[in-house]
Amino acid sequence: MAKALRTVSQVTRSTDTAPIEGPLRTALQFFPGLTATLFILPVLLGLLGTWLPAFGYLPSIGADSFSLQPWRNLLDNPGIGKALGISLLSSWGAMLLSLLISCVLLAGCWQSQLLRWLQRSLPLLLAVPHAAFAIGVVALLAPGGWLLRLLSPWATGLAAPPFFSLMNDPNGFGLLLVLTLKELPFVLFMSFIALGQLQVERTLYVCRSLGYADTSSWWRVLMPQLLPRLRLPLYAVLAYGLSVVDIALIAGPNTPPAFAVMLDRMFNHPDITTRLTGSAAATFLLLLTVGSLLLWFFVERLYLYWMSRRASKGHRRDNRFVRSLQVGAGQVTAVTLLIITAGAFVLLLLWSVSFRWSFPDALPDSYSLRFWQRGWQQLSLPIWYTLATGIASALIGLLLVVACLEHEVTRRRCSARNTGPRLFWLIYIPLITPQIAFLFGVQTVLLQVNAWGNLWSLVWIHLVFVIPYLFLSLSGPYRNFDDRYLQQAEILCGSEWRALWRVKWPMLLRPLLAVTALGFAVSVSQYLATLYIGAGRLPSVTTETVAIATGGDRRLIAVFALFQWLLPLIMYSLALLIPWYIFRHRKAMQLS
Amino acid sequence: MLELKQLTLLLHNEPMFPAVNLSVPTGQLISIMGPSGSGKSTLLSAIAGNLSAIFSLQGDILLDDESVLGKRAAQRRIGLLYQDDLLFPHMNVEQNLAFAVPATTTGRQRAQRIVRALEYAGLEGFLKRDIATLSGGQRARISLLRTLLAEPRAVLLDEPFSKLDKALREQFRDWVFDELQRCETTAILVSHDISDCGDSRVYDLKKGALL
Repeated sequence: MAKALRTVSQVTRSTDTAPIEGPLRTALQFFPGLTATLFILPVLLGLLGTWLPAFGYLPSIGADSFSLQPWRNLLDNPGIGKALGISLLSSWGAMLLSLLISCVLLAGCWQSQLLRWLQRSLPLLLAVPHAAFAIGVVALLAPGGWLLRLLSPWATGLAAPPFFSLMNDPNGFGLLLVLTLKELPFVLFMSFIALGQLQVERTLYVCRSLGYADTSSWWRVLMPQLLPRLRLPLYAVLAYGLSVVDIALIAGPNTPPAFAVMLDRMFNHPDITTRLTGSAAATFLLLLTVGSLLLWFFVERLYLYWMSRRASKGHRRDNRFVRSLQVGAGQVTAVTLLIITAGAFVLLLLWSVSFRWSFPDALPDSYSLRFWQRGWQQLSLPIWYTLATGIASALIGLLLVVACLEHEVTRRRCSARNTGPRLFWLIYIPLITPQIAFLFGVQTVLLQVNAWGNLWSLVWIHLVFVIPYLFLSLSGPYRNFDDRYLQQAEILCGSEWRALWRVKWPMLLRPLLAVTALGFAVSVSQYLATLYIGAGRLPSVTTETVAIATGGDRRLIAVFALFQWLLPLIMYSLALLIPWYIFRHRKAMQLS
Repeated sequence: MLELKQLTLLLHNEPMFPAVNLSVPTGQLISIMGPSGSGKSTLLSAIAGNLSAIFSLQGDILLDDESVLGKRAAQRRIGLLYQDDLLFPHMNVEQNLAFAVPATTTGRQRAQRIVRALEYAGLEGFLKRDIATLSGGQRARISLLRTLLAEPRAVLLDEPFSKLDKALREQFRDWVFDELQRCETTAILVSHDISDCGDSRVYDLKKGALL
């Protein structure tokens, strides 16, 4: 009787049949919250630690009553108007130019061999540290730079470096140029990711069948779909441009400097009460950034509205001249970007081994390795700190991001609701918040808890910037992994952990190593974070490079910049070589 | 024995097919037929424990008189063979097969089982071969060997022959049926093509009855 009742109840019950989670999957559910806390908490604490001093409250220096005096001091600062102008010009200019160039490139060169090369080079271009890149470009384009040397005296007639300069010009055009060149690979990279979600080829086929030329289809049909998907990356570019200090120090004007540099000087002024003015300036920078993001949002909406009206008119004009111009401009840009990056690297190499190099010689007169010896002596400790921080933040970041993505994939399997990445926008918070707007606050908080100048504090703050890039780069390959392999592995070996460890993660080894290298590169690039949280006790290759970039011996600067460049390059090489070696007998796992 | 008792799947509260009442004795194979979109693959996913949460299930699934509904896929010991072989590309033949052999065996036993399995499949000497260098038929055979080496209590075959060409299809089908019989493995095969069913008993999913 009991058995019959049991059978009846079994037969009639309706079961929610979400795949049952094992203990590993159950443990994973804590990781998204933990990860979000880890990288949002410093930003929130830091902002609070900056906003209070902005209104006069910083008890540690005796300022214990609220006031607007810091804001008055800020407005009274000479050159603040010009400094703001420089920052706005360089940030907006770099964002708009990099977007325009990316669009022209994609529209003009889609499916071309050149674009494919560029796409493959993007991870390497992205890995180039900002400071090293800026130093290389400045060395290329400066009055005594390589470009002029190659053209002098036969083309320019110059026997001595000219007085005019594109770099460090008082209006910030040099800064604009360097920022554009640095942001272009990032915007392109995000564009390729976004285009992967659109059916580009089918769209072009349909548009052709409707009588539209490809370039016309790009601007009227594909760009309007691409632009909203690029919103967050473009916000990150804008925010970075407004708040960058290291590139502004190297390529930007000096008197007055860009606003973020002015701000940084306030935080490091011998008179500690200037910290209050600095906090007001940092808060103002945050407001300026928010305002810029909102403005871009409206500009984007306006553009989409205008384009939709234009596209609805049905004009199928195919202006061959414009089309050729686009193709030509795209090709020239792609080649220029690759040449400048390669040229900057080669130039740094030449300077690093030169002993004497007079203008207008195209190559050094004599060579020496003494500056490499000096560089190694001065950088051995910073290199150690850079490696320790970089490897720790890359590996911890990888662990957290993989756990979050694995949890997301499992939830998708187990939930009927659309479990798209609800918290995706959180990833962008550290990227769109000006670093300098919260780093001072973090420094203040860490000082209170005696954790300032501590290696783990430094790793933590680096994680704030590493995790977003890891997530952005790994989410595509991880989410697109054919989960049937994992299901099959779990069925075969009876263990979800074994299936992950022996099947899924080895199959994803290439992207996992690539993002680890990217995380390391992001960590190496951190200038302000290392400066503010390292307390001078944890110098990195980047902080030392920027320190001498504005006044040191060019040859030593080149050595420092090359060390900064080489460290991520080594990691990227390992990320390529390790899977190549492991899978050398596995054709299906090799790069096509 | 694999039993499906009053089993049906609901999508938006609508049953996808009439309730299935089916018993597959140990060592026997039953084919389930139905047109594309009738829910055959979804039914197999439900039995294997991989059913998407957009569906809900009514009824029960018993394996050797024990309900499997409360168990995760990895715990059910029900093998699954798709039309894609899903051989792990980063492992060679031996490693793919070894992955499936239960951990309770010794190293020597594992090696012997793998070699013997390859002999049955006519693939002697394929131990160290890279998966990517195998033909479609070879990959399909190794995929089934891997499934059987895990000593499943039942095997589900989801249109395993559909990607093979006609000549290979018949040959492979006969070999699969022979292997399942040799291993005395209970099996359910789903297909929309009656020729895939061979001499097995056929259950029509739409009609809800054995033909």
